[in-house]
Amino acid sequence: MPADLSTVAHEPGIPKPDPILTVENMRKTFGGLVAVDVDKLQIQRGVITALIGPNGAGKTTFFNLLTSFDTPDSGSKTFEGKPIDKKAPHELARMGMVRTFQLTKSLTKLTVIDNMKLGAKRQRGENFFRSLVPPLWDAQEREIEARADDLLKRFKLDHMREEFAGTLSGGQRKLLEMARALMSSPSVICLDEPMAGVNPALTQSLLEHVKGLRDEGITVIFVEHDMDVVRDISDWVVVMAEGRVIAEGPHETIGKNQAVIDAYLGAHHDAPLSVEEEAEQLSDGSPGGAT
Amino acid sequence: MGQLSALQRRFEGNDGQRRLIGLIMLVAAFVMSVPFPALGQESDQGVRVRLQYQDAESGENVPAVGVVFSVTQEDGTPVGDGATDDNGEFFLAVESAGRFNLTIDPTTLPAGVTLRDPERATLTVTVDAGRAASALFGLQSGEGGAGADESDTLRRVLQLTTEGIKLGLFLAMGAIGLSLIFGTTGLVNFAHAEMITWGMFIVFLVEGFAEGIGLLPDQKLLTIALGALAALVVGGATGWLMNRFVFAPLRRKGTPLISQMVVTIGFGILARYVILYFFGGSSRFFKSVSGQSAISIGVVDITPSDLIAVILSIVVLVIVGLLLQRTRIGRAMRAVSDNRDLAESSGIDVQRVISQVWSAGGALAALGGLFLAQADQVLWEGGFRVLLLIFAGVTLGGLGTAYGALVGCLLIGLGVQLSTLFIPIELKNVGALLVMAVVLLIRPQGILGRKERIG
Amino acid sequence: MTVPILAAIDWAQIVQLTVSSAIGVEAMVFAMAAIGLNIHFGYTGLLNFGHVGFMAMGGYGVGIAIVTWQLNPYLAILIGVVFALVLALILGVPTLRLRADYLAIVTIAASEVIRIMARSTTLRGLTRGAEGLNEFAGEYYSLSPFKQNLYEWGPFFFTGNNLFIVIIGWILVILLAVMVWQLMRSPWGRVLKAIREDEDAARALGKNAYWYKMQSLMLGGAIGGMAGMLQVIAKSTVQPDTFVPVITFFIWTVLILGGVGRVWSPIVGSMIFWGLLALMENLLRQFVAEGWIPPSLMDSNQVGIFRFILVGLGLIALMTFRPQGIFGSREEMALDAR
Repeated sequence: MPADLSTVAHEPGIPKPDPILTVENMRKTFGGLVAVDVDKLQIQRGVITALIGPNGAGKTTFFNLLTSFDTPDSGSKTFEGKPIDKKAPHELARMGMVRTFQLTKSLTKLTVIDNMKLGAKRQRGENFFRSLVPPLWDAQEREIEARADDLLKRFKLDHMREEFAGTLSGGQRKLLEMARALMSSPSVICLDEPMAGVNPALTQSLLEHVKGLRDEGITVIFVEHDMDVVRDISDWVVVMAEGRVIAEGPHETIGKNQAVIDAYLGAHHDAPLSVEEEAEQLSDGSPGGAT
Repeated sequence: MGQLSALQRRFEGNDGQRRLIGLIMLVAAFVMSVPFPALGQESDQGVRVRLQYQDAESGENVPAVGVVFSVTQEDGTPVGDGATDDNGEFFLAVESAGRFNLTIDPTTLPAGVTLRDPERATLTVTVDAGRAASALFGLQSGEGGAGADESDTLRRVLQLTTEGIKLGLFLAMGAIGLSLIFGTTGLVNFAHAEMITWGMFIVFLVEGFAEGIGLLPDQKLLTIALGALAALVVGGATGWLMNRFVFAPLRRKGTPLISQMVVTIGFGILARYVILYFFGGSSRFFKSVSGQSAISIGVVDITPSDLIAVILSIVVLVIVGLLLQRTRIGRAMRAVSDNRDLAESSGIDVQRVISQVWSAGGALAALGGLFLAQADQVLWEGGFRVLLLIFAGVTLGGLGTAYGALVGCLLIGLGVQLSTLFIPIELKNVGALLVMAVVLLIRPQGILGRKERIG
Repeated sequence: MTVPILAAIDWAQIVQLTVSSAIGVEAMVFAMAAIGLNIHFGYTGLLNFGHVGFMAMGGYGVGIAIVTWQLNPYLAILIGVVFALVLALILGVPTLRLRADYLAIVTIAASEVIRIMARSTTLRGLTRGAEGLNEFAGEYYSLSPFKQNLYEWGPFFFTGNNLFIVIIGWILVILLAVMVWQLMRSPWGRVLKAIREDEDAARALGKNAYWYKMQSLMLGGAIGGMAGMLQVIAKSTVQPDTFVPVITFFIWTVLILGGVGRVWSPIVGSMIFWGLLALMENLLRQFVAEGWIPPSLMDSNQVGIFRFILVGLGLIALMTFRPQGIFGSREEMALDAR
């Protein structure tokens, strides 16, 4: 492990020795309902941070704010020490922070290999005028293709190379999305519920891939609502409930934290959900916010 | 009965086969709107005036006969002149579209009749290609009325505001259905325009029928009331049928929304040109309301039929609002609009709600068609001409919200009319569409719309 | 009874008119316009319902430059393209950040705004109102090698000028199709297709979706503008009422007929579209002329209207039963539903 989290106290908002990503006073409301209200959060470089919380805790919204897919009402964030409040999602991706989506966004009518090639950064052929002159980008294209093939092999998708991504199974799509994100050689990868809707047989291999990312030195943040899933692989766990960060620490201590137990087992699971919560959960599961 | 014999003349050939075809066509007449011959006044490109005044003694509206008009181009070049006929009508064909000045010769008015506003002896009208432009001269019998010394601009503003509210209300009749259909299904229904046009022609056919059985010309009110009822029923049925046989199956098949939208475009084109095929491209007017002269309310002029239409549309819109707010069906509609999945999971029969929305949308659009046409004309592309204004209203208010549609349409109506204070009348729709673009820039979700959640 | 009717039809004339229409000016112009729309909708997923607006901008660009501004005819072509590009920018800036439906509404509105403005007396000095700008294409035809008035091949005939513009037009159409083919197999086209499938995914991978959509809108718009230019040059007149909204939906029909998102579909679709329309129309005209269709059902005026009815029916039938077009693959379409 590159930097040590063992000296860090287990309390929400605590500073880390080597943060790659920081968030301060981030707030987002939807029609009066507070979806996210995070005072302070730092993400340690080179480790796997799990962001967990019960349904409707604001995890996905927080993720959207982090990756600029949504704009906060207030707050600030930095990446590698630089402020990134004004950055568009694609700019963040180019800076090395990529994300996946809870509902996989595999580009169904592109082949698997085209999906992969799309992930590569700084492609000369993506300029309109250069694209008309293949010699200007042919060499780079072959390079990208070779890299894509390597990754496909690693993720055991190489036999699907020429198939439309739309023909893949749910688990294969998750793998493809992860592999595609890696094409850009990111320094941070944000995975939104990578295990959701995946056949249990594939879960283990997905988890192994996530660990593999960390071992390559990539910072991993992933959202998960099931606490059990994160037990094996997370180095650090951040718990959200009702939009706030209520606990931080290694999973051993998180499991014993009273606030976390309350959040998971408390009023929320006994009482029926309120209309707003139900709506939010449902829209969590709807594609592209097209409700 | 003249109606029937005319129909027979039309379809009776000299052999049995023709008769058979005629019979089939007669059966299809209700659906396909076979033209009833000798109906409506056809008009070409030109300037039209209907001159009537309220007789001081009998209180009835009587045509002003033999009143002389002269028409010039905007630059003063004479185009022609003429006098009103026995029906108080004057029509002068013009060769090219454009703006024309129409001047009445007050000395030729019947004895005791004067212009309500002597300063408005010359009116400027804009003739669109292939259309007749109507001008309204307010007449009065007896002594001079009020308003002559009012500030001219203020009066114009008030008049245009009235016109704007009127237009906005009529547009809203179509917009609410459009918006609810969008809200419940995500579909932008381009054929909504033709549902409006359909309403115009339903009433037109009812008038033809009324004339056939002798209701017209005496029972005007009854005729138009029957027409309105028919528009509601047939329009609603049309909406229901479209959903039942076209869009419900497409939804079941999982057809993408964009494909469904293209289908609505296909329907729009189909319906528009079927109407053109059978009715032709000329403007027609409702006989039961045409030729009314405006009455003055304060300083604002409005024809009685416009006034009734405005009141009715307010009543209908209030009823729709109450239905949406208070009844189970209405609440279900709003719930589905709000969050379809949530509504479905809480036990609402979404498909039934969608079916109801289509029926209500069809009925409202048809009634809106009647209102629009009584103020203007019955035309094969009457609905299509206002479709963009309705889109603008719906977009302004926020796609998918019924109240937004109403507010948006009122703003568009006012914008269209009041913009003529500053820009030429021929460009008034342009102004409204530009406003829509600007609002989209500032507030993409519309005035009453909510921001959506991503992810 | 049907057999004598079939025998009595002047098939030679029908075939001649059908083929002439399938390769004629309209087919060429609509093929080109559909190439532009294909870039918008087929490859990028932009719902452009106002494509005729780009054609109008191109057509008026040429007309205004030559007649009103008295400019060189070759500069005029450049101005036509610039007009179309400006429209793309004006449309794109406010709407490309919004949902797809908004672009649909704004584009159809914009195309009507352009038509209303062009026919208005306010801009009469620029556009000559409803009469439009006339007789400006002479300079282009002076380049034509076809100096004869009429060229005949068996039953087919073209006027010299017509032949010239049709040949130039189809060559351009093929060049543009080849260009689209090259673009869409390049990384640039890959980004466009990714945006079509899922804009957020493209953004998450570092692609500036907004800018690519803008490029697509501009490219397709410029090609639409070129189609408009060819149309007005072929007729040597530019009039506002040739640019009514229904034209946009003709182009959509052409595109869907051939198969959305395929390189050659605009060309094939346009030829089939115009061929079929001519076939139906001329068959009906003969029927009407011979009295086989009673005048009470259809007169010669209604035959023309009937074409539009067919287009409407065709659009509904295609989208319902064969959304992939005549040559598209069902499997690829089925991926949408997953």
